[in-house]
Amino acid sequence: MSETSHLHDLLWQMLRIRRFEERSAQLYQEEKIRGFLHLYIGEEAVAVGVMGALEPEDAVVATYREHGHALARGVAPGSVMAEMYGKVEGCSRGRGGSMHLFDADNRFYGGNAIVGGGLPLAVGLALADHLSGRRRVTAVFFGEGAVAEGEFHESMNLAALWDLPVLFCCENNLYAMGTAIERSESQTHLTLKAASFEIPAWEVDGMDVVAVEEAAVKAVESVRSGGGPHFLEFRTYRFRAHSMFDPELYRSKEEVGEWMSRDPIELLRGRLSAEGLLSEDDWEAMEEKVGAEVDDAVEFAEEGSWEPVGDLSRFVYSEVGGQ
Amino acid sequence: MIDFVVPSLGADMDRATLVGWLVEPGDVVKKGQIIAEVETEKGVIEVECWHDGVVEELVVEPGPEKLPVGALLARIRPLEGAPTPEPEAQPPTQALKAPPLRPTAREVAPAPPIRQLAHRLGVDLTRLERTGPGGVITRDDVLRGASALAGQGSPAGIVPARGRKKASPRARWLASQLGVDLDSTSASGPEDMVVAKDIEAAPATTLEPEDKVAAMRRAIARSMSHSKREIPHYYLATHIDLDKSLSWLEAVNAERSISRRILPAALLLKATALALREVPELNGHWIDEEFHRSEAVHIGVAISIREGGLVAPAIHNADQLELGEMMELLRDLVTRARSWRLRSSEMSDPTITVTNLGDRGVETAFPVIIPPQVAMVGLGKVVDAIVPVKGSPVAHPVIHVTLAGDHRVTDGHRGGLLLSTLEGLLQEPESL
Amino acid sequence: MTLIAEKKTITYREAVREAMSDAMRNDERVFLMGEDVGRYGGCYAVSKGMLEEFGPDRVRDTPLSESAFVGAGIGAALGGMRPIVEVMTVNFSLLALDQIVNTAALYLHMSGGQFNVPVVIRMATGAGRQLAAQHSHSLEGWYAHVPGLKVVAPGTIEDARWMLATALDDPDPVIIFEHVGLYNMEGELPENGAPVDLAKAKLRQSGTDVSLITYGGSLPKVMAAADELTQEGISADVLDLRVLRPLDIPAIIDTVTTTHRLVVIDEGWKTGGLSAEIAARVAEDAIWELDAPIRRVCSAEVPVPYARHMEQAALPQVADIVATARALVGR
Repeated sequence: MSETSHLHDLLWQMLRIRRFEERSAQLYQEEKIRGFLHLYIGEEAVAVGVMGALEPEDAVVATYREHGHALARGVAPGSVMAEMYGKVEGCSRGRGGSMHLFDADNRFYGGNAIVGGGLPLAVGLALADHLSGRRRVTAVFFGEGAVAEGEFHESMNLAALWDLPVLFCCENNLYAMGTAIERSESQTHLTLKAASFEIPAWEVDGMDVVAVEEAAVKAVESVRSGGGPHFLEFRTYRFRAHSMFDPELYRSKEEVGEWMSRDPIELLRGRLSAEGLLSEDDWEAMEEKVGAEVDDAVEFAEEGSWEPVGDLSRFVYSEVGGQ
Repeated sequence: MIDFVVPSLGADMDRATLVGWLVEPGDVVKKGQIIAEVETEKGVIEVECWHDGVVEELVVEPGPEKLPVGALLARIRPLEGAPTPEPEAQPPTQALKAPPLRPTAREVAPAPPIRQLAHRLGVDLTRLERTGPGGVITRDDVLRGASALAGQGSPAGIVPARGRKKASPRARWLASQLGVDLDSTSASGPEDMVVAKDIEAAPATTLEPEDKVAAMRRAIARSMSHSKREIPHYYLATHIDLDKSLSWLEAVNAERSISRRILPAALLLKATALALREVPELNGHWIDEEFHRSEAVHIGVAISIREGGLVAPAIHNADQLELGEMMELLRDLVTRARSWRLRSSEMSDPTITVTNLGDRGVETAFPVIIPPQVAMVGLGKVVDAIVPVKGSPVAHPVIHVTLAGDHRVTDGHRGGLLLSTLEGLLQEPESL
Repeated sequence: MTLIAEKKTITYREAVREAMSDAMRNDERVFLMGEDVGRYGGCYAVSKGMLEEFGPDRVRDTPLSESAFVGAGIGAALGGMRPIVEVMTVNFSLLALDQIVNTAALYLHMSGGQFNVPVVIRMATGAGRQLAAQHSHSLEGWYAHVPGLKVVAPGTIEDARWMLATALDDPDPVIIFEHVGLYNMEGELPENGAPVDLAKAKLRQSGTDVSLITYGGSLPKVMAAADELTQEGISADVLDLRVLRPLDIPAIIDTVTTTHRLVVIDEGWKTGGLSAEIAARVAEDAIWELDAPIRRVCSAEVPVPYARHMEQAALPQVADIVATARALVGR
């Protein structure tokens, strides 16, 4: 893929996440999607950039704000939307909803509603690869809020101690729900925490998808070739509230405006336009393609069916031998 | 026209107040534009509209009134070419199964103690006035019903609502089955509690000189009168050639020790159970004006008790038992029945009854169905009869089998199918 | 230790060690992970010698990070291994409760059947050695409460030897509780053993007057009580539950239908415990069989104290079981 078309691809990937999230917000307000909804708007560059550096046989563990990660990883938008609708055609049979997207085919190990809950899991997946001699990487995404949990420190320590191929991706969007990082961490330079475990770490501008991808490629290569766990801190920002039901009393409109001026989609689009690599027509076409994909996903979800209530106790235990 | 409504913003949000409008009628609005502010328990939240259009009408003014999610706030006329949204399809509510139109006895008096009390006092639950919450029958309802019957010669004593005698659940159940008066039974259990063996050993009650058997006969009298009064019986009879069955049984028994020999009764019971699978309308209960089919086949076996008593406890899942198992269970059942050691489930579970009067020398039985069952099979004695075999007369053992059927549920065609199926099965005893 | 095909005398502890070693020899996906399982030889000496045989990759000492290493065990199971995670005691498992309940138990159902978790977690449990309140819990009932988990309690040497193989074969999470008082128990291991089921309770003794239902560490006490009762002319059914989730309800109903009197013996507390579940099931499914109230012999509703006489007063004892059964039968 040429440089230009690769950049187009990055732009398109971010755009499809953005439009998907926007439509999800609307559907949530119309009560098609229930429970909790956590939007990735503003943070798209991180998921897109990191997924680009991973191979299909690598594993991904994510948080409850994981629609973008799922889409970038290759989970079908229809599958995700149907899941949020609660339909049986959803990737988790409607069992999980927005926060628990799972896809075995893409080695996407969920969506987790427990902050920090996925970190030990990622360590375990990497342990299995290490013991079996496989050269796979496990990328785990978590917010800066998870850094306060004991499980973060235990997992970082264990991964470093046993030299496990984990890529720790910290999405620092400055707020853990309503609590700013300065009010939660005595030491807000998260890369220093990683250093205390002897884990190579560096900060990345999370609004610049090209920078994200570059850093991720470098880190993944090192992890895969036996360099042990690595830690990347992505400086990013969510343009919307923590979830749908959040009056955002904890941050100012000015701050949000400042970060929105660095919208990752606009940044890349602006750069490409300025360099004559993206015409208006190209952009229109991209929007149309994305729009159609989102419409299709919604239609798929609308036409889906409900899991029969009689199946409620299926999959409490395995039905066949499992793996 | 597009309806702009109060949006759902959270799993636990169900209402909000409108704090202010950021647009006026006639304003052009774009998708994603914030056009209103609502207040919830969490604070003021901005609400965007999802369509390009022109504000047609602001239906609600800002104010303190709490508006539910989905309430109409404004109308927006979409711009030319912009699609109006489809009306939302309602997701099917995953409601629980709708309750039946008429409550069954179990529903109006769900608590076993109350049903037991009603049974003991001979009170018809479905005819009582119900004063409990939700139309449920209470103890007092039953007692009132019983005292209404008192003038009509109701059976053994009314249990006082207070000062109940302490008795174990098993003792209570046995007492009701055997017609023993709890209050006058002496207690040998811990903490002065009447226990099962006290009931089993209970002497005559103080109300009338009678023994267990007489109480049982009274219960039978009530049941049989009810049966003949309420159940429109029809009768079918046939005779079945048992030559193949009995020869086969003889061969089977030759290889078994005496104590494990299989009697023809077991064979007949098994065959009946299997035949019932073909005619499931004969296997179940008539409750509250409708037939409740039973998936399982629990055959009640009529067993006489010395001094004139009669019980018909169930062999559970008779259609699934091996012949050897069936024989063991039958033997065990008869032994326990005659020593008053039956289980509650055996008494309440039969889905059909078989009465075998062959030992009494009866050729043909015309049984009376035990409510709430809907059929009974009668077996007569095995006699030698001359039957044509390839045109020549041969003496074969033959049995008269009768079926009594409840005409509300089945008719002769279905009943006849049972008998013909039974006959067919008994010609291929290896398959039993 | 080589397994010879004849009866031999062995301790419960050795039986568990043999079970683990056997599994690891036969399947390279199996490995053991936990605190002090390697160099130290196991807190209760269960894994003594295994590090030497299998090496540090497969007998893996972990730091004091219950949440991380239990979660890692779950992740490794998801990644194709068959880990045995040893949590030193149920007391420390509380630090890993989130991973057990929110990951292991939920993943299969929540992912719509995509991700089963074949992890085995072994925990020591119980009291009796004056280790005081924080080291004396019996929380089997808590784990048995959660759908998605299987919970077993080997109370005999045979079960200690053979339940593990079946657990490792199970595609879903299995928690094995080993009562600390049982490790030293000695007995004969029947020859030609084979993996046992994780489904049925077992009648360890047959009787007609009273049913004594129990599991795990309380089993020896109940057997001793049953002996005493026999001397007094009271014959007891002793039902060893073996599996705490899913409970073998038919076996429970069966014994109550035989004797009509029930005593449940459980070292956990009475309130909201496993004994309450059994009593409720019997009341729901067999009320007309009961010829007496249901009785439970459990630990006193107190944190377990340190002083010997106080600890003994807090825990179920043979004398309590005998007295309760005797009163129930009415002697």
